[in-house]
Amino acid sequence: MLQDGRVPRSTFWTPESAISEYAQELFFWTSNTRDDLASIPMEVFALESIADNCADEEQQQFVRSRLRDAAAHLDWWMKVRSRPTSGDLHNLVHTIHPWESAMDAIPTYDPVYRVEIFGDTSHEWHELKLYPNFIKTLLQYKLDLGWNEVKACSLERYN
Amino acid sequence: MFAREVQLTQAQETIYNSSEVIVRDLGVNCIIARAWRSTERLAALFYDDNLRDHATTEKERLEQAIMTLWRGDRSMFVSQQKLQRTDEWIDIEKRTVQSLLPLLLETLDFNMYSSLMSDLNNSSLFNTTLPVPSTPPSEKEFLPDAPHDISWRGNSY
Repeated sequence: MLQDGRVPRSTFWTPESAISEYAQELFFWTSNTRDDLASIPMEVFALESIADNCADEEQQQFVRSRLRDAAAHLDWWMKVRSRPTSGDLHNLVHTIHPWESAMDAIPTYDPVYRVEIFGDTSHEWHELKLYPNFIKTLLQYKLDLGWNEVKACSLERYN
Repeated sequence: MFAREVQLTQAQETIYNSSEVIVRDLGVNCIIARAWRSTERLAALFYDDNLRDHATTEKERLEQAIMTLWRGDRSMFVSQQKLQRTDEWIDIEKRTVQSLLPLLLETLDFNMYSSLMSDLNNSSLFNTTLPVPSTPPSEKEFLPDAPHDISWRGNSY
């Protein structure tokens, strides 16, 4: 987890390796240790599973010690990725790339990219209709917009 | 203590105001609302009252917001895309496994719950031989035996 509460969608365990540098160049990330998208929050579900299935005091303490970090990730989404609409106090969160949905090529994003993908054609053809759009969005964030979205607000802690 | 007003970086503002890919993804919103519910439960378990109250507030706020995505005339929840030219949000109506994720919420009314359960039990939608498909066989985007990179259009979730 980064200091602002965001959890990157991918982290690279061997940043100096060729594959990490290849990924950085191919997808226009700003770092060879992580990508610039946000992960969908799964941490608290893992903690809940541990709490429900492990009676051991040490494991319970582990859950307790990590719970606020898990909440900080949720707060990151609620604060950085939520915008008010006129007269509406109930704000939904938004994604900035299909990969943040954790369902990479789900049809939900077809209208966003103005593509219609169906019919009796090869799988390769379907991929070609989709993936260049995904990469193009990353390129836009890198070159046109500076990719600095990850430097988010500092979160208040619970006290 | 938990201020909602946040000063975003200039780059964040630029992305929000320029990108065509700003999507109120139904699935992501439902997962986050459900995550707040789990946070609420664990905070109560560990007697962290401040965190519990915060989680309750955020869970209720987000669940109420998700209810605005219900389209009763079509009996489904939708996602939304922001149009940069007009600053409008328009509906994205795609029936996928994401459509079922509101079942994770606490505040569904009877009609919503019935519709989602009907979809879940419908053999042409989600009650397939190997339930639940990522995209239902009835949808034009369905791709049987989709390989890894496009598996979210295939027959297994």
